[in-house]
Amino acid sequence: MSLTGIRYTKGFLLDLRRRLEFIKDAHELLEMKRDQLIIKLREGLEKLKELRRKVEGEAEEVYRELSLLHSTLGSADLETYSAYLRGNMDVKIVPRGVIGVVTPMVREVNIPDYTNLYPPQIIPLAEKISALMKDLVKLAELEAYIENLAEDLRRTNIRVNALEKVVIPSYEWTIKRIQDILDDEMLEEIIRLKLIKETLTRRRIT
Amino acid sequence: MITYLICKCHVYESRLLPRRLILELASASKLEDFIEMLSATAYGDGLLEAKSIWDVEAALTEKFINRLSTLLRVSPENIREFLIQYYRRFEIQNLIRIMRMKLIHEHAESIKRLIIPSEMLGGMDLDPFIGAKNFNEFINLLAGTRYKAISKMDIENPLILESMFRWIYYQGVFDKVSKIPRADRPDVMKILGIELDLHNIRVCILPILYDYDRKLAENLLIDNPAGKSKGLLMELRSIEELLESFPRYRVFIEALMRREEWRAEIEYFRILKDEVDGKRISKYINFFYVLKYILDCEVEYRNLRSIAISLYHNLPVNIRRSLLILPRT
Repeated sequence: MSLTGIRYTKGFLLDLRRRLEFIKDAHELLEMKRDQLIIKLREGLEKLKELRRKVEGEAEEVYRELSLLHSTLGSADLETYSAYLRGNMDVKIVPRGVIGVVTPMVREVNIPDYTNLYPPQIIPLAEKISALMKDLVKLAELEAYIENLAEDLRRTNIRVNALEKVVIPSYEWTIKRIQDILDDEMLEEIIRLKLIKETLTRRRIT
Repeated sequence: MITYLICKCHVYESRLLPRRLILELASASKLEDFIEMLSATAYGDGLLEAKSIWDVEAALTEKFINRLSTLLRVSPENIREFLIQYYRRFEIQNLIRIMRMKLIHEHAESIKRLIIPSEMLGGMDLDPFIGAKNFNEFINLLAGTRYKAISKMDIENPLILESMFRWIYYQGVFDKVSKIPRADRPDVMKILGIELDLHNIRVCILPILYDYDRKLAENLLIDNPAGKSKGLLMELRSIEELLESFPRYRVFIEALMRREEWRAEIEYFRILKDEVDGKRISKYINFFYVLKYILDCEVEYRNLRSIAISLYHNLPVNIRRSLLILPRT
């Protein structure tokens, strides 16, 4: 990255130094954010691994129960049992912020009630499916959380790298260059002054 | 002549698939092998055309209903009357299925594939019910049938309506028991009593295991003139009391306690099968053998259906075998 509108003045140099200081603070903050995101992401991934294992186990159990019921009751009975379901599944989602990352949070999961409605043959399967649905919603929430964290981590990483590898070196280089030019100019000025002084002294003698 | 019917049942009984073959079928590696093996038996080539699990089930149901309808053709008038009423269990099964589908506004075509051909067993024509525009019209249509009591009721919970269908059915069957020879009645009553006891146990467990309203459970109980009375059942408040009152059905109750409804369904038929198989009747000519044959047909039908569906789901051989209704001996 090259800086435009560079003025080789003391004032501009001071301004650049101030700006670099600010950028370094921002870089430090972003690094801290990145570390926090990594920690949160790791925790989330651990939870996801655990929850996914649980959901897979539950799904397997539901499928097993379903195939056993299907085998014993036949297709027709099994198909008609679904008629007793009243109402739809309802999920309430609100946004929440984690280290500045907005992710969806499930506030409420309402599974239609089957008590006093279902024939006994189907209740255990309904119970298992209800539990699975609740955990599937939790899994979706956690996946969205991790996805958003990962996306923010990617963006933060790009910013940290950009600051570290491009912006800060470019500022430092520009500051150095201005400093060098200012130093040269100062030296030139001193030499010029010396020459003038010598000339003046020589004139006075003659 | 009833003797002719009973003798026919003895003959037909010998044509049912042997236990060894059922176990072999359960060990088939895939559905196609099962169909091939089965089509080499009395089930014939019809099965080979089956393209889906629904087709296999339909072919098995057709064979099962054909077997039962054959008995109607060789029965004397009074026995025919009893059998038609006994077979109404398939009619109420159909009516319950139609009712359920009407609740979710399912169209007639998709309801038709769920229906057992109960007309072949002397049942009423179900087409008007299938074609009913909605649930209310379905209930109104019941007014002109033996199920008219249901149409007069103002009940929202379909579980109670299902129970009413069963109650009317069993009332009819117990009424028609008078059509069979007096000496054979106790054995028939006993089987019907066991069926109802097992149904009522399932209902009694609802408030204990699944928090169902006790009042609702009481409404779902069906009077059992050949078993434990409704009043006595209403007093049972725990699993221990149920086990104490029905020690013979321990395995069934334990399956329900473990919430293994599929196992309870198998145990239900195992108990009935054990009962009919264990019975030693002094006379060779007894109406009980007709009921035994009907139950054996149903057990074979359920076993084959169970094997086909479990193969469709790729269940392991040991589980497939455990789903079979085989006598404990």
